[in-house]
Amino acid sequence: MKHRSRNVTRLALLLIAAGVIGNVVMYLLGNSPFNLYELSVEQPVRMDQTTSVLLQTEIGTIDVVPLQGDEIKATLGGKTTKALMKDYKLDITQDQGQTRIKVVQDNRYRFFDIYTELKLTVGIPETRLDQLQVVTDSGKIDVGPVLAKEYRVVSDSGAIKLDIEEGIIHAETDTGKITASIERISQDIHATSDSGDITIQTAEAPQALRTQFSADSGTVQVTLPGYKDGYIGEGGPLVKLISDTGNLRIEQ
Amino acid sequence: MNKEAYLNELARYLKLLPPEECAELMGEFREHFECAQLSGRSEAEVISKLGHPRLIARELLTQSQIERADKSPTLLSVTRAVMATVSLGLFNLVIVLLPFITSLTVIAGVFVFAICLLISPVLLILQYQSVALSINSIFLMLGLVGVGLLVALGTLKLTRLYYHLVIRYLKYNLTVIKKDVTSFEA
Repeated sequence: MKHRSRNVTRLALLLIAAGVIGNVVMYLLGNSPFNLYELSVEQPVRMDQTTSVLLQTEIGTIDVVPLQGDEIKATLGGKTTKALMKDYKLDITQDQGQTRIKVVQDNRYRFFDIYTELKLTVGIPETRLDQLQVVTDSGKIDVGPVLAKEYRVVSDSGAIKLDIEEGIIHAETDTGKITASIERISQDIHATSDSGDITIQTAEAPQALRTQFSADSGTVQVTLPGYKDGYIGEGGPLVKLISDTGNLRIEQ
Repeated sequence: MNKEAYLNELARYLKLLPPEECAELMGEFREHFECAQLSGRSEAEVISKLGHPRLIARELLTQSQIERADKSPTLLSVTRAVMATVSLGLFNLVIVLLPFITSLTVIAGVFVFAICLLISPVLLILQYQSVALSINSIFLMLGLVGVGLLVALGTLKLTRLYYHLVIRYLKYNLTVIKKDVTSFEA
C-alpha cells in the first residue's frame, strides 16, 4: 500500500513537471492556454427610429458614451484566451423603436477559463432617447452624458456610475455602490443597493425636492441648501434611496 | 421489575448486536446481579443503580458500534457509530452530528475537486470541441491530472486520519456521558 502510494506520488510529480515545462514552452511559442489575446468586435447600428436602447451582458463592464454622428457604435473589447476568442459576439436587434445590443456568449460547456475580461462600449449619438436601459449580471456600469428621458440601470454585483444632465433614474445593484452626478434633479430618482453606498451629486441646488431614505446600518447625509425634514420647498421630484449596509448621501 | 424481567428486556434491546457479543454482555450482567446478591444487595437496588434497560442497551450498542468502527474505519462504520452516539442524547445532534456532517461535506468537496482534476482531459475536450485546441492544452491536462492525483492521495490519507479523530471524539463523548450519568446517580 505504502509502495503503491509512493509510486502514485512519483507519477503525479512527473505529470506536474511535464505540465509546467510543456506549458512554458507552449507559452513562449504563443500556443498555450495561458496566452491572452485582445478581443475587438465592432458593429455600427443605424439610429433609424430608435427611441430606446437596451444594453445587456452577462459578464463584463458596460460603458455608455455620447457620440458624434447618427449611428450607434457598439464595441466589444477585452482580453481572453485563444480558445475562447470566437465565443463572444454581439447580438443586435431593432424592434418597435428599441435597439437591443446584447453580448452573447457561446453557451457551450466551460470548465476551465484562465482569464476573460470583457467590456462593452456603446457610443450613442446626441439625440434624446426615451429610455436607456443597461443590464448586467456581474460587472460595473458607467453611463456618460448621454441624453435620455429615463435611465434604467441594473447590475447584480457591480458598481453603477451615472454622469448625466437630468432624467428619471432607476438604479439597482446588489453589492456595488451607486454614484449619480447630475446637472439638476428635475425628475424622480430611485436607487437601491444591498450593500453599497449611494451618492447623488447635483450641480444645481433644487428649489423643491422630496426624499425617502432607508438605511439599515448606514448613515444618511443631505448637504443641499434649504433641506429640512425630508423636503426642500413644496412638491418637487422624489429621491428615494435604499441600502441595507451602505451610506446614503445627497450633495451639491 | 425483578432480575429476570430486567435481563429479558435488556436482551431484547441487545438483539441488534452479534449473538456472541450479546451473550457475553448478558453473562456479565447475570454475574453482576449474582455478585450483588452475595454482598447482600437486593435486586431492586441493583436495578435502580443500573438504570432503565433501554438506556443501558443504547449505551452498549453505541460502544459496540464505536469499537467496530475503530477496528475497521470506513464511511459506513463511522457513520453508524456517529448515529448511535447521536441517539444517546439530543445535545449530540449539535456537538456530534452537525460537526460530522459539516466536515464530511468539506472532505466530499475536496474529493469531487480531485475527481474533476483527474477527468479534466475529458472536460477540456468537451469544452474546446476541437482537436487542435485540445492538443494545445495537452500539457495543461497533464499538469491537472498530476495535481488531481496528489489531491486525491492527500485526501485519502486525510480521510483515514479524520475517521481516527472522529472515533476518538466519539469515545470521549461516550466517556463524558457515562460520567454525567454516574454523577447524576450519585
